[in-house]
Amino acid sequence: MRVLSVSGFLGYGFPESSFRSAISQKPDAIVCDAGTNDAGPFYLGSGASMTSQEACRRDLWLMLEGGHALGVPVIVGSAWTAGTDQGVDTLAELVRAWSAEKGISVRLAKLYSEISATQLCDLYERGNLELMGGESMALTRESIEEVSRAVCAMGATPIMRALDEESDVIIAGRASDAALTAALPLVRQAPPGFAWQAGRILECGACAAEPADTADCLMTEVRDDGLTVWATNPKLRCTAESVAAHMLYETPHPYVFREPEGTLDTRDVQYEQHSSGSVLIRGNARFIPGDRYSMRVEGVRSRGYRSIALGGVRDPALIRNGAEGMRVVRSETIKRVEEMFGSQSSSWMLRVLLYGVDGVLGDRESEETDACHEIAVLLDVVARSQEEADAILALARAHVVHGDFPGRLNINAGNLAFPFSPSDVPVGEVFEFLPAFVVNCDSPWNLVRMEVMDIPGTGGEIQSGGRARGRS
Amino acid sequence: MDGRRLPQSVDQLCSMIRSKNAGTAMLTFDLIARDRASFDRLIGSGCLAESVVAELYGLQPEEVSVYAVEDILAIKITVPRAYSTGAPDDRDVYGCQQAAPIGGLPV
Repeated sequence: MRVLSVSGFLGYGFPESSFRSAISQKPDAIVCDAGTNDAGPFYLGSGASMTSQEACRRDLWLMLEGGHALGVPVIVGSAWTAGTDQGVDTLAELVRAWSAEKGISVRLAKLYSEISATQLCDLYERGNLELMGGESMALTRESIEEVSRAVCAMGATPIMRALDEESDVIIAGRASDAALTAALPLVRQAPPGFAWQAGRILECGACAAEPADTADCLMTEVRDDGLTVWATNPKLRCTAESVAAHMLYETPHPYVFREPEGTLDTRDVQYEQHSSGSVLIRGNARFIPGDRYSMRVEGVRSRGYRSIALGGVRDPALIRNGAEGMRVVRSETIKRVEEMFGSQSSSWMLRVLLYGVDGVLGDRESEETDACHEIAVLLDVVARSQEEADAILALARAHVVHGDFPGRLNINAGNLAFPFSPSDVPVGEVFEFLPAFVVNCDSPWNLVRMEVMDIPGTGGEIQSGGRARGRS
Repeated sequence: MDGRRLPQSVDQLCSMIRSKNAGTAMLTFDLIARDRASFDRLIGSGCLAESVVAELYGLQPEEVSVYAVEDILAIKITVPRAYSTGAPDDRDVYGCQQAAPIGGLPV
């Protein structure tokens, strides 16, 4: 059977020509991941999406059209970037709008995986939460109580159940990227190792091709003796190297991958160039089922509000000798701000980042900055309220602009070139991820909830199919 | 020796060096050697030993995992992040600009 991954992210805008070509090759399911934690905690905290509703609509409607033409399911996971319940409903609304516009009825399965702070505390007390390997922070009841929103990343089981319900469209909350592609082969009894490996390779669209392109289509054919992958855009080709290298991408281990249903081990898999643009994967892709159903939990808590200002420095007197002058201004500014607002603590922080000096690496930077003639200064304040952040930033900005330093020639002029007015930008609420942990369950249905409904295609009300299951 | 200088730093032996988040709490470095000889030199010289990487990123050696994937000439190094991605103190949300110190390591 064949599965098509249209893109690494819903709303990235895959080329329609790649998609049409893929549809002509008759995939048995059309999938797209719509989420990530890579862009930080803001999307889960705020419920916002990284891609626009219009871009999501364009991509999703093309997928729905293709799915309808072939009579195959469309599967979207981690809806609306963070995979919140509301994100599932937002994409489900786009499905309903397509159904109404085209006059086509749709059986829609929605899979929700949001989990409340109260549920998490309860699971913590019962010892069902387990820190992930490599996590250096501790998980405490206090930090869990502060969670403003959390989601569990479901595996393939809930999606397989939705396929069993003969759903035309499945919109899942936070989900394992690989599970979206693995679900259909698993339903059809493909070897689990190959099903999951297909999922790992297709999780980022055509990232596994050469040149890598996350906004393009990748196809897989999963068989009993292995799988083949290829890009449907003739400008992209899969090579044994590009596919094998993609297995390393954004994963802590090179060939062991933990999924809710168990562990994929690809150490004894071979990647062979099959034709000019496709790769054959054979060997022993092992999938070892887990004792419990273990879902990764992503949770965020609020850390306050942010204000920033950005300015440029071109004054050689501030930059020379490793930006000695700017470092003096920075430490003097922090001193003056702490004089008014008290010492920095968990309630507020001020950073004066010097891009061109050590803005990215901080203390780990070992390069000399003597060769640079221009630096960017980012003032970054996080405090308990937007008003407080704005106030601290205003003071810090004043002192950076007017601060004195040895060898100063720009007497009373100003140390920063601001590219716009006002210089100070209120950014809004700031969130922080909880430590990385999993929740161990007997079954996904302890925490995942499914609703199946038939949308009549007449623009009318959604008819609930009454097949809800999971937590009530 | 034919008088040509051997590559002196890790990045000169690699066709790919990247850093990236692996989840919200880990950072992972993927290196692919230019050829078999470069791979053997990267591994054999000990220039990417856990202790070396630990010192570079201010970590304990036991916090660093180094994996050699011989069939694709790859080396994967995984370390904990100093801060979770996008936390107030973080400086690199995607973790994609952290590989320069490893690339600059002497072989």
